[in-house]
Amino acid sequence: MCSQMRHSTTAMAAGVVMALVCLAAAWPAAQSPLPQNQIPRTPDGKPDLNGIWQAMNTANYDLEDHGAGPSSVIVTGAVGAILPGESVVEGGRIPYRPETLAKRDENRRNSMPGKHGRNLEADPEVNCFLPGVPRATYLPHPFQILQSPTVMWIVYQYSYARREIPLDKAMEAPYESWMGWSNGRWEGDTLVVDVTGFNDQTWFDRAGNYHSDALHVIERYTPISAYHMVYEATIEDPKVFTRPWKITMPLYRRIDRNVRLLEFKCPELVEELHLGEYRKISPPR
Amino acid sequence: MIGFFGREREKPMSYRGRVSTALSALVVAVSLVVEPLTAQAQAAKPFTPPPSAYNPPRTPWGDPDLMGVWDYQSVIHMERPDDLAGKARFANDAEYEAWARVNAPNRDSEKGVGAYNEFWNDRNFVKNLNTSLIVDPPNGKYPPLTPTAEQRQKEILSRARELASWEDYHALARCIASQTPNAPQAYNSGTYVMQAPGWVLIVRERLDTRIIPLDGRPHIGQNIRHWNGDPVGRWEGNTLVVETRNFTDKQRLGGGSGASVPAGIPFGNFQLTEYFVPVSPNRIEYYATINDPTTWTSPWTFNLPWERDDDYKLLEYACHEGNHALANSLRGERVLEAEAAKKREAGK
Repeated sequence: MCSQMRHSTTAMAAGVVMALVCLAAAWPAAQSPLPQNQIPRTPDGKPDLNGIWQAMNTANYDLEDHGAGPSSVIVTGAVGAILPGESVVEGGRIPYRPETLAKRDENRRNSMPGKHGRNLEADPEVNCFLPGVPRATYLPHPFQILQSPTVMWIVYQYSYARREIPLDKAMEAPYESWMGWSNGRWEGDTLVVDVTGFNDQTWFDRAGNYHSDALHVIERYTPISAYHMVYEATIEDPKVFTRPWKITMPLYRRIDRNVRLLEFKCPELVEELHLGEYRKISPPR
Repeated sequence: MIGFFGREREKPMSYRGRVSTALSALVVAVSLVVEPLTAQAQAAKPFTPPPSAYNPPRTPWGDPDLMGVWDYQSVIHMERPDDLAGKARFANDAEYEAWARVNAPNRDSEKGVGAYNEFWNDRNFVKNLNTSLIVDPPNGKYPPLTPTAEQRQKEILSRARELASWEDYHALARCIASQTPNAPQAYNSGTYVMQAPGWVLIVRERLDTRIIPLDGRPHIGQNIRHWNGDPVGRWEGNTLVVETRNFTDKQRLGGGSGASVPAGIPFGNFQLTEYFVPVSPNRIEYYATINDPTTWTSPWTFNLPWERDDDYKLLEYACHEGNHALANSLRGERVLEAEAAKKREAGK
């Protein structure tokens, strides 16, 4: 009905009313009109996190304080510029061990190599590699949560990133992976996800903040309204940091009309970068 | 759209110019549609899957509950083998099993030096008494291609043989996508069905996640094209019906493992209708109908049984992250070309 309405010649006032009705129907939470501050719930009484969510911050540039900066590719001008943002790290700074900070700085220098090929010293996002956790959460892409009493799935728009999060049977990570191995549980109205089994290939941001294969992430998703969650991730990695540290940010429910994840199959988008030198015929300039 | 703006910057097109371009595009579009529609009108009535009396359990919000891991390995091919021509089904389990014993790949075999011998293939065949996956046309074969499509397929395949770039490899080798609809494949065919109010999620272990809205929304706009298309679904009784459009034409070199569509067929005009018919707690009869009058002279349907596999745990399929094969293959082609050129030079 909502789609038909767009094409009809209904009077504008009626149109506005209908638009509001349709907007309200866009998320399950609003099917029974809840006050903004009331958390929608599933039949088993848990908070209903079903839906499409997105962070709205610049943490993917740098988890710590960062001012605006020029694009690393001159010709992209202001389009490629670094957007400024304040730290999402509790206390402001990531507690690197004295001997591990140099590697972060080296990563930062190499993050955008500006040359063709599969540059493994670059930010993994440049190569369209899987983002890991928690970075998947604050990439500039939406993600979708699907919830049942026994399992959650989170599907990220970025590449083919996704996670199965069992709630009823915790299992030890059987192998190392990019997205880690997730086990979830409810603590009151907070979904707690314990993630282990990471490889050492992902970064936390474009600024070179990194971890080792000893990474252990504890995520907390706490709804504070029908449309907002507080996302916290505690990061432990004794090989790289002096103590556990925590990032905190709000997540916003996407309520755009007919919002859905679209394909962002970035392996295709980096083929010219990775493989261009092996092309038989140069692409037309 | 980038191209459009680019052209406009260089040389603004007059309003009339734009209208006439649009008109001629319309004429082409209409002529493309009208001709095959006539052919299609002669075809049989649209496929409808056989009904099932099985009543699956419900989700807390009342939808049929198909959640869990499913697999659809099969010894049955898309097309009916010639030696089974005229025989649509095996008479009984014994006849199927006798045929499967002879025709199934032998998992103990370690002979051969292909990319993967059977040692690597995890086989969990789902019993299927049909002698082909294609059930419509009834002869178990793809319908004839239109003359245009036949010509186009030849061109696509002969160009792809050059291996001039990554675009000449199928999407799976590029770690982009497998085919939708998916046919049996050698490995990693576990498929997770997850449901939430208003949504069905189909997670293939290998690469693709299909997120299907059930709220009656329209498809995305024509200018957005996806490797796996844009699905919208609905429940018809206990059957999940999914309509998928908006495929990209770049999906055209399926051919290999998991491919239901032969190589050289661009997917751009596909209208895919899928039926997930639960027939028992452990089995879904899956049907996929592809209608593309620009490619085939009639719609066609295949039927792939899915079987529940609770022991299957989907693992991360980090394909692109470790994909050195594509670069090595392309580099090898360029080396061969350089060597051939050197030989030609020496022979002069």
